[in-house]
Amino acid sequence: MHELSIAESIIDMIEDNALRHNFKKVTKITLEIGVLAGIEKSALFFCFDAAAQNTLAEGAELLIQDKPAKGICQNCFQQVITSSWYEPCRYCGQVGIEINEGEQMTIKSLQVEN
Amino acid sequence: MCNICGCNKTEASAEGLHTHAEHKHVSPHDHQHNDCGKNSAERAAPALNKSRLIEIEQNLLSKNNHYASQNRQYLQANGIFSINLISSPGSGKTTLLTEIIKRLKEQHNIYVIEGDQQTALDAARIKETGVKAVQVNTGKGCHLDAHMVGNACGQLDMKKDAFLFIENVGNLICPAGFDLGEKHKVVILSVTEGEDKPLKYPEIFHAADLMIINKIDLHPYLNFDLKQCCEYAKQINPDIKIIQLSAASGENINQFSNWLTAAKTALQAGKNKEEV
Repeated sequence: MHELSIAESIIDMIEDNALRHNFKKVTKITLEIGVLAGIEKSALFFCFDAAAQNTLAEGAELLIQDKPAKGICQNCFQQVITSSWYEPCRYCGQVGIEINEGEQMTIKSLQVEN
Repeated sequence: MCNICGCNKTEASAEGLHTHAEHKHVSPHDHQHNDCGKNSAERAAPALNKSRLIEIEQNLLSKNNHYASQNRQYLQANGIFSINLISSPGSGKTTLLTEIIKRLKEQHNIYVIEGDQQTALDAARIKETGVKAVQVNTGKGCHLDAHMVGNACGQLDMKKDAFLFIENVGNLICPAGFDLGEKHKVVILSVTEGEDKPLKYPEIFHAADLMIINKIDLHPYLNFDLKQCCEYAKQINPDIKIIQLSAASGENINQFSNWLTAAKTALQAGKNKEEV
């Protein structure tokens, strides 16, 4: 359930941004989460609602955009889009894609009110 | 004020239809404004609350990563070689650690950070070996984070060129994404578990530099497929090193202590090179 600590860090980051950008309420948070980031979305939604209580993000909508994983096949050296750590390369069929994108978790934007 | 266009010229309103001197509204807003001099978005803005979009593009782990990088700098500056031990509960992490400490403590300073949700039982087991240990209770948390480890490092007051073992909370999932500032992650699984764990929990096997297969003395009594397990791990992480050992019987445990001392020597050789 590390989704709880992720939810808490979303709240921390919103509070930091509230000081910087001078807002008092957040109505929508857009996240981009890599498909290999190890986040269970339903758990994150659940934890976020709990973590947001009595904060300036209480009741805010959480929107999660998936970011596909990419890597380079170490056999045929093609760039491959993948959805798991051990999927065979879609071009040559060999296992062994060096993943270089897909683990990131980013807050893209906040819809806020003064 | 008209709630649709935000102008102040409302003169009448009846049944969703209202008029102004120069124009007429029929809900929804199907009318022409030539007099307002604003496009519809600009007109709507002052009537609604002051909602705005802020694009921030911030990594959700940035705070943890910041603390991790502080830990890494501190450990590197002091020549401390750190290992983050990760496994599911019951794989034998603490037993392995106590056996390794017994073998290394004559030649090296050793410190331990013990992570558990509750109790100081593991730190007590480590302290029995004579080395300094700090217990971190994560409470509801299912993993150690870099901030907790930074605080624990402060309590340990470590000597230079030491070993620091960080025993994470027993969990193969959550600790994988949280950098603590350690030099290497080591994942432990035991033959009493399933050989398919590398496929089931790929993130940690991808992030680790070494996989230890523990309780190898029990292997003759079990159906654990060692070869298949190693193949799965290599499939996730072709560079992962694998040591099969038994912390309880001592079998092959010197392979792990040799790996640790060689990796520590390599770290210090690299550091000395930088200083020259």
